[in-house]
Amino acid sequence: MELHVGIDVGGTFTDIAINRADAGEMLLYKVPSTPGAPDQAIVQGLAAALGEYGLAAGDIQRLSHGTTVATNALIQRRAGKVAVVTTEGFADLIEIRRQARPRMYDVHLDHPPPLAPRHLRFGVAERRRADGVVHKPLDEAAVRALAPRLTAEEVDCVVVCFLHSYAFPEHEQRAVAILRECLPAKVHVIASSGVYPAFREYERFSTAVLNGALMPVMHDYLVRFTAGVAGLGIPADPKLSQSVGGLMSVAMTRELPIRSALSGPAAGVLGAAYRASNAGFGDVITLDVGGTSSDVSLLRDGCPREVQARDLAGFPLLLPTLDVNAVGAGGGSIAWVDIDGLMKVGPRSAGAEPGPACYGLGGTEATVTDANVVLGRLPDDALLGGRMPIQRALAERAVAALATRLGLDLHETALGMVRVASATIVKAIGTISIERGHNPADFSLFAFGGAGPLHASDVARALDIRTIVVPPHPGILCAEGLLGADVVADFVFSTLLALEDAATAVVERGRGELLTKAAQWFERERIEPAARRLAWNFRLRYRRQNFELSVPFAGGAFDLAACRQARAAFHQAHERAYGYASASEPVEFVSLQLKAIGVLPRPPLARLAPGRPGAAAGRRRAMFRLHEWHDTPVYRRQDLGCGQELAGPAIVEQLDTTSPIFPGDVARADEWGNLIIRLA
Amino acid sequence: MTLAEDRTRAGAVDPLTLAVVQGALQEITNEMDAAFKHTAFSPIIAEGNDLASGIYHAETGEVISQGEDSLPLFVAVMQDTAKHVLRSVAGRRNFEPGDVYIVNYPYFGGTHLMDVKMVMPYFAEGDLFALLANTGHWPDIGGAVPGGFAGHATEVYQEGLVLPPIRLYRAGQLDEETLQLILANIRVPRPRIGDMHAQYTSLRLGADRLDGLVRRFGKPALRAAIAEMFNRAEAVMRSHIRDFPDGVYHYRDHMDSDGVDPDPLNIDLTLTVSGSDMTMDFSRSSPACKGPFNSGLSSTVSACHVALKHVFPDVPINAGSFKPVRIVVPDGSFLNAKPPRPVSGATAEVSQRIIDVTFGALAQAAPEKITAGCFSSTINVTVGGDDEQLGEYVLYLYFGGGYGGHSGSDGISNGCSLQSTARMTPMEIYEQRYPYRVRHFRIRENSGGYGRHRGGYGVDMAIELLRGTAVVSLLGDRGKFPPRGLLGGEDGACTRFQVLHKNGQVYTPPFVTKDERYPLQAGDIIHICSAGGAGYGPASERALEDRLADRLAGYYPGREL
Repeated sequence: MELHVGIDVGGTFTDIAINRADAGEMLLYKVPSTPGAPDQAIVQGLAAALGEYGLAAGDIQRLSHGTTVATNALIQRRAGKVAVVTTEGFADLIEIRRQARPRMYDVHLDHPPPLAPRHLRFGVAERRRADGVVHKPLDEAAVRALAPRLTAEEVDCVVVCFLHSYAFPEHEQRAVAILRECLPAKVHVIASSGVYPAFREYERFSTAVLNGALMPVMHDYLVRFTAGVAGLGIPADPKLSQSVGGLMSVAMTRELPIRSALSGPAAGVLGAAYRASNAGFGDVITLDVGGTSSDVSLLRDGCPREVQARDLAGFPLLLPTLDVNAVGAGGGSIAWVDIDGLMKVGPRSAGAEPGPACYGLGGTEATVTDANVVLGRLPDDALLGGRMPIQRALAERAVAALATRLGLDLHETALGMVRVASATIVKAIGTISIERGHNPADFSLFAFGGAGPLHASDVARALDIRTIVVPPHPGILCAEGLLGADVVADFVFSTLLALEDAATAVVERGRGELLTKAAQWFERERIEPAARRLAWNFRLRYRRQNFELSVPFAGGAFDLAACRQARAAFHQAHERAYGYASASEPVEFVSLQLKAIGVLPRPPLARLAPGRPGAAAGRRRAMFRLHEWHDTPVYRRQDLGCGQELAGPAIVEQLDTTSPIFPGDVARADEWGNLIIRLA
Repeated sequence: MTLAEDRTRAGAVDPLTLAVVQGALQEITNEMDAAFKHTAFSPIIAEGNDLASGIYHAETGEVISQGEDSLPLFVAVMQDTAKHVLRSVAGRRNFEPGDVYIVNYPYFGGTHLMDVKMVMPYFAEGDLFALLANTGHWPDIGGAVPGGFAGHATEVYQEGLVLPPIRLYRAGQLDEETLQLILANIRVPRPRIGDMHAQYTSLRLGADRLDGLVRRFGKPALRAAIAEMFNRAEAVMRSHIRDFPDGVYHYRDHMDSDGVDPDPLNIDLTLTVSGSDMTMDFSRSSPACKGPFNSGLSSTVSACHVALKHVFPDVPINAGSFKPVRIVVPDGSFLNAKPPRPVSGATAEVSQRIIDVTFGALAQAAPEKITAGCFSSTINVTVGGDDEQLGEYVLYLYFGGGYGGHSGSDGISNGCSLQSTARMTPMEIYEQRYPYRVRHFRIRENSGGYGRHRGGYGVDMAIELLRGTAVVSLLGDRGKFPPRGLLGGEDGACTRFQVLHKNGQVYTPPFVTKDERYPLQAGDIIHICSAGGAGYGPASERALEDRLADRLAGYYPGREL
């Protein structure tokens, strides 16, 4: 029997999803995380899960892992010691940045200090111009002369960052070769063009320095992780998840740890894409509400969207990542009264300790979870299938204190808290939809995470969304997402160029380079020829515009016809995104991106047995609209049969979440076990 | 039916509705900013964030919401722009759906001519409900020098094309004749069509989003919520002012010159706090000047509000927050410019210094809340040329500098202008687009005023013209009067600008920080050093580990640390 395993390491829990490939059955296991050494929880959890379900480690053919090691190392500044070798005259770039302050209207808050301090940043003579002309050859002797100093400083990594290396990497590559020759073998030496060769020097250098700083940390972790997994007798070659959504090998993670930095939320989006497409929903907004924050993203035709740059722990990251927007509103978010007398919710959270007031662990401030208990949307005895006892009186006391300050009654306040939290989420969705030219009303809302289904209805109503999808296991969707992911690598060729007929030769050369890189990668990753896929994208804009649009490219030779087609496709994309196009305006080529994909077979999903419709397991009073109480039937998720319909008001409960169905709305359990809620 | 709708049927505005409406209005202006930026052709709009989007009151023009990516300085300027359009239309004609007005008139609701505003009446169910407006910095607006920063201009006519409020779109259609009139008066005109499209698209998006909000809450509820937003912002501002010690605080700083007369200009502020009221009186400042350092009243007033927002950052930004502050600037002052005084330095330079002067006055009452003196000069460098390969171009450079040290830590290095959220264009893009090579770009050593908490560093950049000829114009400041230390901290370094000729000659402009059309040949180098921030507290109190770190990093070569 073949087993596929997905492991998602979160701040509180490590989730393990095991798929039995023969039955499509999904087995779930949760263990507390061990933040100091995340591999401990993984190894112990795997052993326990195998034991519990009576499975053999030797049957695990695939093992996919989402890790926060990189992100945590950056946040806690536990990264390696990095030196930078750069074009003479530009050693301060990563310190002077690009002017903008971290926070508008704040003259006090500074950026985090650079990961390579000034005394470890060295300029060497070399210079390419934008057109590739060698203005100054690389001073190889000067590079060599740095070696004793770098050795004496005991740096973990040297990052070579030269101007215009995105298109002309030769000087960087030569400097890397020299330094590798002269430095002890344990010192990592990398080039900015080797991490992600896009132009914008500060962002590229920053990305490379982040990568360099993470290499020693990730190296140590991967040694422990792979040894632990092998020690269990698991034959699978583990894969790690990337912030752009796919998986990568252990070897690639060692070289490019930065690509794993935002992989947690990305795995959730993949899980959503997998489940939603399977249920026939292609245009979907994903909503993952956890304890302290919410992540939202948008899927079009089942495909997640990417962004080219973002911020990571105060540093710019120039690399494709999934377009996931996070806001500080979750179940544990605390409600407070701002200086202007308005209620705000979050970003401060009660976290796991003390947790919401209703947990009775010492919390006294009103959280969103408390509001939901007051409204009867959450049970008033226990959560997590009885493991977490709840005290309704404590929730009421906390919310009442806030109500007094606002001059409102208890239930107005509770309802207000839920809606203010939802408004924060709505704003975050605006960023990934409206600001990108999409109307959220054209999408379904896919709700997961412990509290996503709880807030989906308020969020959907504010955005005129008509349909909500709740997957069968909303609490472990990230781990599930890892099971359905492919192995991917992103390559880019970038240079500014008028996309005119004369440009075809340059772009064609770039296409050739990318093909070579992809072919090498396929070989290195040992991907079967039949599983190899290529996905091409142009990044184009009107000449003199400053932001690009993605335009898909079918591949094949880039000739005059392809060039014209690309231009036409860009005009259309611009029209779609912004409502106008200027056919006479010159189009500018910014980059050609290639995603190489090693397709892994999707694990089958189990269908819901067409059993008898389950009856309500209980009833409780719940409020959906102000001061309108409903005696509401409560169903257990596992009791719902395929095709069963529930007319709101109703509440569906399961171990990892609660889904309220509002009055007038109708929910149906589909054949894959999703709950599809149609709004009135 | 939402809670807000439940409530407003009963005719009241509760705090929960308010929170949701305020957030939704903010999100609409954020979306307008994003649409504008993503489609704009001007790099100053897209990279420099030199834009603003807002929603304004239909009768008074008062600002209801401004985007969070918008240039802060526009917050009070744009409400005057809205007022200007309202006044100019009143009595002449009615607004029609689909109208869009274009305006850059600097003396009321304006800044410098390069900031081109569009204003659109927004109709909800047939009634004028609000005005939507935005502004973006065009790389050129005609006039004597490419880029509009004519350092020696003596009349606005030398600075470019002046647009009073005129209709650019009627019934949603671009007026071709008006368009041609504008394009015929500016350099590199073609990309400006793209900017106009971008600006219009952003307004249309705002209108669509407002439609949704009106549907959700209804007009009466929204009007009531907006009125209540104003009330609350005013109350918060008053509570902050009340917390400030009553008293009269005086501060004076000098700008190098106006670019025409060699004498310095004085910004002289008497700031009075009395209960919950504040008066900012600039009566003793210099009179109107001949050169381009005059500031329109809207720009002056807005700079004052931006300064206060830095000190009280939790005050929501809308017209209500302006009410407790009375700003006195007499006619005849250089801070209350009248036609046809030249104004190109107003937004870029004078407004920053007004902010710094306001900090200086407030620091006397509460030094722990403010910073020591800031660089306060973006050093606007515009280079115009016609390149054999790249065609006619206008290259615009602007610089960050050092912020003052403060009670908590050292100052920010290479921070953007105090009234902006600008980012610098990457050098790899400059070098791809223009015939220049950046020779170095680095921390300006010895520029941060030393102190217990030193000032942030300015930057040091040299760029070389690779081929052909060009003319460079300069409009900056802080060349003669450095950012001033606080509580015994040292002053920051002054701005410096030079042209290093290929033959070894060094040119320093006679006005130090202002110049016009200075000719460049291939191989000539423009060398700019921006000012550093001033120190906070005496240098003798700097912690040993901070001194050692400064020494190791080599920030102060030649200085005993």
